[in-house]
Amino acid sequence: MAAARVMRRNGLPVTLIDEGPQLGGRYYKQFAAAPGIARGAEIDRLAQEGQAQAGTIVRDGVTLRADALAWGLFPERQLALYSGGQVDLLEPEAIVLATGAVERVAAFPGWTLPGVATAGGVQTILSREGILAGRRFLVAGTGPLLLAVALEIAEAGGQVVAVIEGSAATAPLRHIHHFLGQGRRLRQALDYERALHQRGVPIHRGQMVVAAEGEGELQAVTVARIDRDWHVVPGHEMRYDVDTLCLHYGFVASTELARMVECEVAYAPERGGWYVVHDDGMRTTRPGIYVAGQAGGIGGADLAEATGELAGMTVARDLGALDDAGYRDVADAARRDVQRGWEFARVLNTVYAPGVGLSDPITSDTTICRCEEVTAGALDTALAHGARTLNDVKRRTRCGMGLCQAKVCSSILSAYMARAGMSPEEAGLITSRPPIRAIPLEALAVLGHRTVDAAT
Amino acid sequence: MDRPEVSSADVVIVGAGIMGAALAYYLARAGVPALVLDRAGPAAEASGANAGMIGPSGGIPGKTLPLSLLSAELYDRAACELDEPIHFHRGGRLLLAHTPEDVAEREQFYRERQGLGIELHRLSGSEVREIEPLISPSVTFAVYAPADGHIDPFRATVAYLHTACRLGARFESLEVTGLAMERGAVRGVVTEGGTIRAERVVLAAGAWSGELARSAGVDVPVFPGRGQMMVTAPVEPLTPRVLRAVMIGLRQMDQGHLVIGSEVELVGFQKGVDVLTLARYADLAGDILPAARTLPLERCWSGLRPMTADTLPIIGGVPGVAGLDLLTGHGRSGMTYGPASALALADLIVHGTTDVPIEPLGLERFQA
Amino acid sequence: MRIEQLRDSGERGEAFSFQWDGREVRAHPGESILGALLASGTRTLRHSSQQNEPRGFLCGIGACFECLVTVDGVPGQRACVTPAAPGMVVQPGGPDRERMRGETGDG
Repeated sequence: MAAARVMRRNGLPVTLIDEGPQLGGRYYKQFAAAPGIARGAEIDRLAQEGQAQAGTIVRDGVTLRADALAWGLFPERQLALYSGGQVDLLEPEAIVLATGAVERVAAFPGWTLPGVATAGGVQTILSREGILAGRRFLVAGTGPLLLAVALEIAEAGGQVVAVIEGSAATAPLRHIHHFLGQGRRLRQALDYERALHQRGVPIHRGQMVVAAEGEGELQAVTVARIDRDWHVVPGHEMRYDVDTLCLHYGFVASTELARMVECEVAYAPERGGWYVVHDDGMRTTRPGIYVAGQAGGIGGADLAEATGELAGMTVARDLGALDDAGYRDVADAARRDVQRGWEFARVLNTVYAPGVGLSDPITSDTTICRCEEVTAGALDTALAHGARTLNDVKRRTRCGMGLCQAKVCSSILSAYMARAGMSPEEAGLITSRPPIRAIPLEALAVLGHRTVDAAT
Repeated sequence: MDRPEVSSADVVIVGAGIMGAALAYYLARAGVPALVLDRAGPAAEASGANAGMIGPSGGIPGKTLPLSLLSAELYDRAACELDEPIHFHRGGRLLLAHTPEDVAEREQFYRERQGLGIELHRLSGSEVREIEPLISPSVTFAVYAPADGHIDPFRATVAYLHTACRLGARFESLEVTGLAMERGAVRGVVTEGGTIRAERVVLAAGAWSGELARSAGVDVPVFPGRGQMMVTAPVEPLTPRVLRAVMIGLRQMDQGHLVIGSEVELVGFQKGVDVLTLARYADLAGDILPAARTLPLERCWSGLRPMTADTLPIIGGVPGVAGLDLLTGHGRSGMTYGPASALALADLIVHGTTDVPIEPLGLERFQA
Repeated sequence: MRIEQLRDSGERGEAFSFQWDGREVRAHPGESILGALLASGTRTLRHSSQQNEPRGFLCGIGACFECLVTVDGVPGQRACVTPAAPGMVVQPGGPDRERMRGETGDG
């Protein structure tokens, strides 16, 4: 939204495309949670801010295409949309890809049982529809989102049995100097902890889920103590009787559209993993294509907004709507915000990064690719036969060839191969293929130039 | 850059598509362990960009028909012999006709294969609908080959390669950049990590075989022909057969996905897909099987097939150049001709001779 | 479980029902098929096509294609992003095993 606002302010004709029915993405979700909860004030502020921004954008004359899926990007800048049952093609002079990120999950025995979900997914259903996904919850993984989700569930009446955080208690302290100057966020994190403590929800650090079990549905989760590399320290396993497990191991940037036209991507732990490479004006390596938000590296909402503004300004300058001097004035300020945002994001991405032991619980029977039901045993065979890249493993096992287009299994596979000695750069990513998400064949068919077959 | 794990081998096979993988298997079975090299792994190019349609009936009489018929038999045996399943089904192939021109083409196909021991039937539109109730009403005629079928090209290629490796072959993920020559003979391959010496090098590198052969001063006239592919989400069984219209065809995988493809586009070494072409294929698919129209399109991709000017593959040695063999140029029919082509070359390498009639398919035919 | 108090208006819209696997399920305007099913205590949405394993939802935002159900005869619908509607007939996703023919060959 930030990019659209800035570009429109500079007089450019802008179309903003969002897959959801409303603007705002994951951050400005529609909230339906109960009033009076610790997150209530924050939710109010976000909801109002989101609505205000959306309103401004439309009033400013940005063309809004909501409920529109951008399913393909083709050279040079041909954007394929699916909306209202129809496919259409746009060929803009500039595209800002603000494709965001998806939550990262981990595989372990039993993770496919109904009742095992993402923390953000449980949060979305709660926020959007006021429905709790279960009764007894375990919130596990790593990252500040765990606390927020745990608190929202608890405030809504769900029983949160524990929060399981992989990073050790002392980890944030090593980076405390970065947290200074981030007063609001630090207070917020402490507020969440205090509120959870008041509700008797324990937060266990230096622990990880190693198994889920149940008869047809989730009934219990086993948690183990882990060391700094996330390897299990045996002898301290705890079993929790829960019906819902909320997993969150950070975010994975959605780089599929960018990669579809061969924008360069790179891997950096301080950026949360793979991200779309960009210059200091948010230009990708392909002409006329820019990146904003999480797709350029995981960094939270403030950073996303700053990069969006910067991208918008750069587009305006590159298309001649803003002169060099004008650009310099505003872009420098935006860059400082971006820089500041990155300093904080880097700390979070470093503190809350799963270690190599994350893959330890996986056995040969553990499903790795849920869509195609490929087990770790099949991966082991492929690796034993010399597969060294995700694409090679994919071709030998069908892992990543399913409906979700490797969105879920890609990071699991990457971590598994890293543990087997292949660095993320070497193992690469599964080639991005259109459509980003499945669309009906007939919607595509009507684009063809054939006349209607007389016989039908 | 990693150094190769081996520095020499008796036979180096460049390319881990169906040709290279099947050759490695037949060689290993005969006690000759080959080193297979591919920069990306098995089925990374044309062998991974096809619908797995197996058309033994479509072999050219006197040229490739023996290859196609033998390959189907070899697949039948491979289903039991290989370590992993290949999903080969001889459910039949319908060569569909929508227009009078199509009918003429299909009739000619039928005529040319009379008296050759291939079971073929001519079916009217209503007869087609009796065996394929879901076929489009716009189909007016078909030639039916009951012994044709389909295969999973990834699984088949991988099964051949993995079994070969169990029997002594080796695979390494390495890019071959050229041939190493010594006094006019090929003595190995140049890779990104160094030279690997070999008594024999087989170019099974599909569309890239020409470029590699040039480094030995040999002209292997293959050129890339792109084919765009589409696959749908899994759906309940719609058909057990290959449904082939003149421009594109489709068939259903065991898991239920429909695979749709493809024409031949001469666009050079350009992979990638084109939205308007995909739209046209989506439309054509509906003209074969209307039920396909509502299916979710899961993925689109393309591959480059090794085409030759006379549409026939190139199998055998290179006159005047010792140590170099060719197993390439199969165009759109690599899966159909794969096993027999590989077996023929394996015979040549191991025994110096083969019963498979590949004489018309040597490189000599291009050398004036 | 539906939470007691909502933020905006404090009330859900009027309840309606849809069919799930042959029984009636209550829903309110604005709820997804998934939300309504979860509120009614149903978490298993389908069985996987090869291993026949029970599956529910994972991402909740329409990205993972786990929560597939058949809606009014149309298979492959994501329950988490499909709004519940009165009179809808929803069935578990996954293959209709009675209609799947047995595989020939080596499967």
